[in-house]
Amino acid sequence: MSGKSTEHSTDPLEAAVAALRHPAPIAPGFAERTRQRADHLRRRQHWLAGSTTLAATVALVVVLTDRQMVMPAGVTFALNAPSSTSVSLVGDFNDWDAEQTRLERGTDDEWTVTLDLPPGRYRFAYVTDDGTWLPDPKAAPTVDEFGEPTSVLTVPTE
Amino acid sequence: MTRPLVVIVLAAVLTATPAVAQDAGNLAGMGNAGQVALTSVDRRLVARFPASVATRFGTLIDSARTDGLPTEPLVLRALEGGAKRVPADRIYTALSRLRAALSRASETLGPSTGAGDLTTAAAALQTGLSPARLIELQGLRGAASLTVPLGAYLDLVARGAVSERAWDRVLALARRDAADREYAAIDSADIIARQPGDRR
Amino acid sequence: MTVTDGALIEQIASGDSSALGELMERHAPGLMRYATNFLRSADDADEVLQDTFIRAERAIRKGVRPDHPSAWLFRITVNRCRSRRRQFWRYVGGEAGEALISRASNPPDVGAAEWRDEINRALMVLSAPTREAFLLKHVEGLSYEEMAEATGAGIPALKMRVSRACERLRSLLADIR
Repeated sequence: MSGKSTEHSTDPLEAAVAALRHPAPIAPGFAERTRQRADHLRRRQHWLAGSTTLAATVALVVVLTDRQMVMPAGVTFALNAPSSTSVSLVGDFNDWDAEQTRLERGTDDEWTVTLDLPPGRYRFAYVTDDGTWLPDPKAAPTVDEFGEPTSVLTVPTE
Repeated sequence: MTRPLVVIVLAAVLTATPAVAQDAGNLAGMGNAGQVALTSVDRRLVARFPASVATRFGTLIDSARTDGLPTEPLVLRALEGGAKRVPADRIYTALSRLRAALSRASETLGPSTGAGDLTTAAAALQTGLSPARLIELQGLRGAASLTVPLGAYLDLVARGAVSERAWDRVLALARRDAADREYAAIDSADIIARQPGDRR
Repeated sequence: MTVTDGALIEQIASGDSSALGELMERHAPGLMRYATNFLRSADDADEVLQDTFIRAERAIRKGVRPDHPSAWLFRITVNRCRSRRRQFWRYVGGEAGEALISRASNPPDVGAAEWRDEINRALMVLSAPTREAFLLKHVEGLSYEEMAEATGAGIPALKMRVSRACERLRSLLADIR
């Protein structure tokens, strides 16, 4: 489509573009109203910055079904490993460092740890004391060019 | 995870900072020439690999940075390979492939696409998803992140779903502006079985 | 001698409020036209534009120095319009949205006075990213590089959207003229 469209064009698209190119009116006092609003917002921000009751922490507990692995914020990782004496969690969130995140043994031989994770998609796996790599049985598997079981989870933005 | 996962959301929800102030902060990174490129090798690589290997990986990662690609996914993949005690050559090959996929994702989705979206898009491209489909999804999602829908697609395919039908399901949600949570609720079971006309 | 946008931005950073007025005078007409065409509401467009300049001023004072001020301002406006659109569709989605599409697809016999309304309705049939790309390219005359900066989308995707928009609009408006 050329930029030379006119409203007398027989091409409806060119005629539409010509109509759309008419200037849109700017209401009188636009600049002044913008400045006033900016001042108002600045004052409000200063007031808010001084207040001590602004932030609220909300805790929600969501029980995921078997197939769900998309989860928000705080994520509890859990693995049933009765014969292990230690279990580590390794993944994109801790630089794949087995020393950083150790799971704690609970009842029923279940090992768990909870991490606060920002939204994103993470590859991860468990490593037991004898060096065995284990995937998460409930999470989706992912392509692993390195020959070890690897899982993946998505932490959504909302 | 042998029983239903318990997820605890601990979110500081109300910062109560005016939206304008937050946006101005977000805009702070726009348009500036930015920071001076960090040419030294990432310290995590230096700590985990012999110097010659870390330097070799670092050179590849620097070239990605020069091309405007996110480097963190490459560093993490190298660390993953190191943790799995994979020979350096195989790690290097994996990094080269990932770098190429990130580059294709960036060319497809645009230079200002976030690192998270690019990484997930790169994973999708590596499993055979076409760039045209990424563009289609981007068109439907507008300003929203692609990570959740693409992640849902990848998970479905990884669980054995027929790729065409997994994609159709994800796209149907994107068309109606579905919430992120709805992507997680797609049941892979009913799209695993092949139907006449399905292509793998 | 004309002061460049870059010089105006430096003046704004140093607290010169008249420089902000000058920046508004230069860029508000194009941005207002885009916002009005995108949102189909002069009131909403006015508010979006106020937001745009408030955010721009704050960013400049925080040290942002855009390489391409015009595309940067478009980027802020495009984002504000997107947010505003999400609010809009909460109210007119569903049956109301369908009615809009039906009217544009089956137009009444219209005169010149109604032509603009029909264009607006046809525009609203396009998906928001497609409408956005069409307006930036063919109405505001941005290059694809500038559009990529303003929208955050890739050039191949933008070209596809513009092409799709032209095809769809031609088809929607063909029966009306």
